[in-house]
Amino acid sequence: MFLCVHLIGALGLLAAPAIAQTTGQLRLVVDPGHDFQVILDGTHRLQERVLELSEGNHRLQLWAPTRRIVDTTVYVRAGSSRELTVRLPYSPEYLAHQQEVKRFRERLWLNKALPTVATVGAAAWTTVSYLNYRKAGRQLQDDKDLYNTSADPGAIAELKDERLPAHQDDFRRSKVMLGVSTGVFAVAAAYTIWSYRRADRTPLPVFDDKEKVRFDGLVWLPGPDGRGVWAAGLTIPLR
Amino acid sequence: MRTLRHLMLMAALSLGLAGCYKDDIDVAALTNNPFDADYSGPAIFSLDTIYVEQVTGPPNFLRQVVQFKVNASLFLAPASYQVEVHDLLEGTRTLVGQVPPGSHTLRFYRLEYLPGQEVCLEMRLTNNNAFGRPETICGTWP
Repeated sequence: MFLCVHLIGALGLLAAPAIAQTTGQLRLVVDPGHDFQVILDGTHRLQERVLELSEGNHRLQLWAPTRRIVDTTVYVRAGSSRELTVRLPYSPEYLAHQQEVKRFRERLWLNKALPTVATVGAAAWTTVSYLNYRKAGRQLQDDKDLYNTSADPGAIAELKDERLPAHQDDFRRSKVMLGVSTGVFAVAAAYTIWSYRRADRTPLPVFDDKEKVRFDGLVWLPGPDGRGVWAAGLTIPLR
Repeated sequence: MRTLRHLMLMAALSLGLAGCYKDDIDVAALTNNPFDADYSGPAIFSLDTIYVEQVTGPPNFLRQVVQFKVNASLFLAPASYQVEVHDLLEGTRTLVGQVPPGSHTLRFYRLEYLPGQEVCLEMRLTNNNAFGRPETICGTWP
């Protein structure tokens, strides 16, 4: 289709320099400069930076992906060269899409980061609980060893009446804490795995460039019988 | 596959934690140390012999000797100790040491001479002014 447009442009416009005094040159300085397109006088779709145009007013509709269409009319003087500087603003749909992508990435980050932080915290808690549990267990074992090696009835009585019950309380508390923290860790880890899998499966928001659809619909190709054809583009996102 | 790997990791972690399981202690079951006042094992003391011996002085005198044994095989670890002997007849309490050190055959001396009379002695292992379970041994003076 672009080939047809170029051929038409070549026939209708680039043949113009042959009539040197009746054409002027228009140089387009457009932001973005790499992939803009222009529809000249509602018929010719071009990707040229320099246009040779007949003298008079010419309607230019400029567009680039993610940008709004800028519609302007330029007067071209025969035998002169002029420059048209245009900055194509971002389309509202693209800005909304950018916001949506940003929100999506933030949500994605939160969906991964929060469970990860919770899991790391639970793992730290479990580790500390286990260290306390191990320490309490070792203390009990030390108490038992002391009982087995002591030849001091007073020390044995103190061990059995005071120290061992206190250490047993510590041990039972640390055991409960270890159980709770291990459970929390297991749940957090499972939730984190599920969150990562869900986040990996969630598709990125797709940008629907409505300005492109509008721009594609702007081209009307006049036929030899005066009726003409509307040219339209179809975008199929390939993944 | 990743889920399987995660499950295996969790299982390994659980097994690791299970391997580090510590046992609680039943305090009531701790009664096997002969120095424990709650000791519930076999008798620690046994009467060996009772005899009278002549002490050469001056002054010369006779004394009664109760020789008893401490069953050191019941000790959970090698230990030195004293034995408090409570003479239930006289009401006196005497500390008897290991003579010589390391010996588990001890002697209780009694200066009162009471021939033919049964005597019961209450004995307890002791260290640092604290006492184990009392046991009574009885015998008859020669």
